[in-house]
Amino acid sequence: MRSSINYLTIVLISVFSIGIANAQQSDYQIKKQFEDRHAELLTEIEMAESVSATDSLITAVDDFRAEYSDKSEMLDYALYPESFDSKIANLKSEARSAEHKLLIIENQAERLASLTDEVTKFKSELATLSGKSDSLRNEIASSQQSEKKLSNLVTNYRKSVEERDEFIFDMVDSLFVTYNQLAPGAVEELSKTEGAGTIQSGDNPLVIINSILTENIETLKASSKTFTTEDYLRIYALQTKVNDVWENIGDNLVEIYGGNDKSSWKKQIETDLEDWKASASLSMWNSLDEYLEGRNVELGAFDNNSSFFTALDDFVSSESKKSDDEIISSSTYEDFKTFSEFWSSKVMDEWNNYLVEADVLTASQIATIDGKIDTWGEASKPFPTSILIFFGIAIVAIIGLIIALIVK
Amino acid sequence: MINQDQLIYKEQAMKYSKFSPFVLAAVLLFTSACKTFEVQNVNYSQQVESVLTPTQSGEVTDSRYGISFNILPFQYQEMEDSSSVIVDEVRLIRNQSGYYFITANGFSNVYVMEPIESGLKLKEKITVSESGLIRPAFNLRAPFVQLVDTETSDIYTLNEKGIKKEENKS
Repeated sequence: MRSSINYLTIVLISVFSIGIANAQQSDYQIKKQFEDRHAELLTEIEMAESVSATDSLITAVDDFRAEYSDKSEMLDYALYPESFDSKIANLKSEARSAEHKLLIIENQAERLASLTDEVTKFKSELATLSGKSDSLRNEIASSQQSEKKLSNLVTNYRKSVEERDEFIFDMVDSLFVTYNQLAPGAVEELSKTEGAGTIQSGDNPLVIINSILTENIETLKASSKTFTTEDYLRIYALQTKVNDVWENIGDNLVEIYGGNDKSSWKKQIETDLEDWKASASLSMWNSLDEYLEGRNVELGAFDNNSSFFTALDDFVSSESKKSDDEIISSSTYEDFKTFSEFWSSKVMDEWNNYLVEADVLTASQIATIDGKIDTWGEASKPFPTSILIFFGIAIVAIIGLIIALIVK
Repeated sequence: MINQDQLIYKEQAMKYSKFSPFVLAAVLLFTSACKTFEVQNVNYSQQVESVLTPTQSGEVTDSRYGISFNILPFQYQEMEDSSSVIVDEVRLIRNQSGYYFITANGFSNVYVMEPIESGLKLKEKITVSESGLIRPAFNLRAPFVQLVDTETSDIYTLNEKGIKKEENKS
């Protein structure tokens, strides 16, 4: 009983002492404690590593405000030229800014992680497709098989490369979507994100892009006899796409994944892109030229979008004029039919996407030529035979009538 | 016999004697006006004390309130030693009337100082603790200055004349 009373006494004295101690603070001390806690909260905000941590800190700032609100008048004076409200507002603003930044980083980190997974999948898929294409190419090169079997091999090889190219189209789109929409400052933050700089070389998008470029340059070198014009157009379109995407996101990728070799990565990829562009462009224009020559479409020389359009436009205009000059003969109609078939089956159908995507011909250029082809068609269309027969019968009838009138 | 010079002087003296009461009145009016121009009810008070750290030579500067002085004379008053700076922090506050209240750790007194031209003049030396203050701090509790020893929780309510109230909590 006595010990309980003693214990109670000690507790009461302690509580009383604490009360007194609290009451005897000086204003300067309060100001100092306020400033210390402010600095502490500011440091915690700066060091916060997650959005949930900043959320807790925002609550802590509210508590801090409530704790000192009854001293705000004194603090306004003591903190001059700042004030109690400005100090709290500063903390809130810092916390919100940190939260916003962390939200971006967390989102980017999630996106980065998902992209790394995606890149890993790309890597294995690409390896499978490239392996398949390479083995088919080797088989073709060393084939002693019959022409029919060889033709089947070539068809399979072309399909395999097409499949791989389509895969790369999708992959490049995915990379573009992910890295072109990074918020301001996110690249810098991501480059510091744990794992970004140390990402395994095989999962590094720069490595994947570099391997795509190397393999495509090699494919173009090794497949001169097996690809069709459509293949070359697709490859050219793919090259144009990769080039465009690189121009948009290349700097971000190098910044995030380049580690200590940023400039050498940038230089290497840009050199490979140039090589691929030169090689794909030359192959495509040559193939297109050969294709048209094979169909007796004699265009002027071309090796770029502008000269190709001019050559087509000149050809269609001059053929149309030639047809216009013919009154009854329809010798140019066959030429029109040949060209029209090429135009409708290839340009307007099979190649259309690649032509427009790779800017070989723009949509408006295609529309212009298309209109002129219609005019050429009208001009070259032969007179229908029935009309000629009726016309002949009418002449014979008129002549007969004239003779009858003379005889009478 | 009055000579010519004396006559001229006399004439002038008579002439000026007519004006002199007016001149005197004007001068008096002017000077009295200058002397009586003053503004009442000025509040000099400093809401929160300044805690100043002396330099090696004993100089303390309060840049916010624009005062700078040497602490060594105060230290000498307290400890009879001004050979080196012993005080580590000087507490300073000004009350509504404009008197400075100065003390420091280990001081037994609060010095109430009146500002004079290029100086501070002792208005009152208030003895608050024979053994010396341990962790003193000033609060302004207008119209008084509150001295708190945060170590012992002793509270003294002061004005420029001395202790108005003492609360010993220890």
